[in-house]
Amino acid sequence: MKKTTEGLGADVCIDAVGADANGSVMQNILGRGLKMVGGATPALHWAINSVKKGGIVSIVGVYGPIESLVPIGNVVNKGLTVRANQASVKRLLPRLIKHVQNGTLDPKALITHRIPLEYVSDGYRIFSAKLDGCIKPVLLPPSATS
Amino acid sequence: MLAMNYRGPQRVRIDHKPMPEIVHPQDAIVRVTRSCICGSDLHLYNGSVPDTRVGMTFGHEITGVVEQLGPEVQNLKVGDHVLVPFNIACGKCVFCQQGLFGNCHESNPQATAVGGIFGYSHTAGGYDGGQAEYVRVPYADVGPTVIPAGMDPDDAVMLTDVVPTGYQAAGIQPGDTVVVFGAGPWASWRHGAPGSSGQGELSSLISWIIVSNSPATTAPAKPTTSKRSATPCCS
Repeated sequence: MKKTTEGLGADVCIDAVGADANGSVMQNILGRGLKMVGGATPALHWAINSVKKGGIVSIVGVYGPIESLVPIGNVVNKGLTVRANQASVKRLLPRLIKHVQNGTLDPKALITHRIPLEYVSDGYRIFSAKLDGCIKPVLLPPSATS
Repeated sequence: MLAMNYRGPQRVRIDHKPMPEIVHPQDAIVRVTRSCICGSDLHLYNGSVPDTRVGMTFGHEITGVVEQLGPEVQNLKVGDHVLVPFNIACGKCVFCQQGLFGNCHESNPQATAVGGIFGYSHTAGGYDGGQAEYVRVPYADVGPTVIPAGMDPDDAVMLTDVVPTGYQAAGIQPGDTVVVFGAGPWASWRHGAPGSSGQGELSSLISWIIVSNSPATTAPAKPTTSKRSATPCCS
């Protein structure tokens, strides 16, 4: 990363992991003890620490309302812009629909698994364990397939 | 109707639940045609979201056909095939008026941070979600959007959360080096997609670096029209 950026760090770092991240053993043990499991935030740490000074950190990964241990001092000292929100879908739809219609975006290419609704428990199990390359499963109710 | 039913951490099952009903004049009842499992549903599944109650139906990435409308709904008609954004938003409060539909003050009045979200615990309002045959959609004039003619429902359902969530994120300029931590669906797609300015050529001017420790997600399942391939590292 440093090689690509002449040692300065990236312009934009995106945390697309959120609370899913595995912390270090110490963080996990400490986190459970303090009821701060979501406090293990390696992806956000890396994002803050590897973005260049004055850069942008964008948080896409989902964090719950659980306390987090974030290196806030580096955010201040590097003068970062932090962007985050739950996407306001309705506001973005007109542009996204246009991108799909003119072929710029191909969102359905994300779908890796099509699962009948009746097999929802298998769907969760496979997706949660990341079995079979499962990245984006779609459930189909019987009334939709008939 | 058939519906997913949460029974506790790592325990979900398919079940018969009562049909949803119109309980407010601005409600719609939608017959589900597509419903994704989102990566964030796995937080619920694994029991890490506070106030996730047994009996809840998850699912916030939904498309479906309007079956029934409350008397105050004006923008939809029965039979419309709609995509339903994951945010439940009133459209009228001070936050919705600013376009902050994810922070609606009415749909989740007990919370100080997030607005209402379909099937996402009582922390996000306690609304049942769309991993079912039918779902109740509140404020039906605000969120649901008729799927444009010719659009594949598979594309439409991706516009309810995963694509807009990635799209809103970045603030990327041509020539930037962008590091994505976590190669989920969004990152696999992102490096072949236009940047946040909406310019299709932008992606080719950006160096993407994808960082992930999950072998299942280091490579995109179906590479799209990327001109520059991602560089997996730390795998």
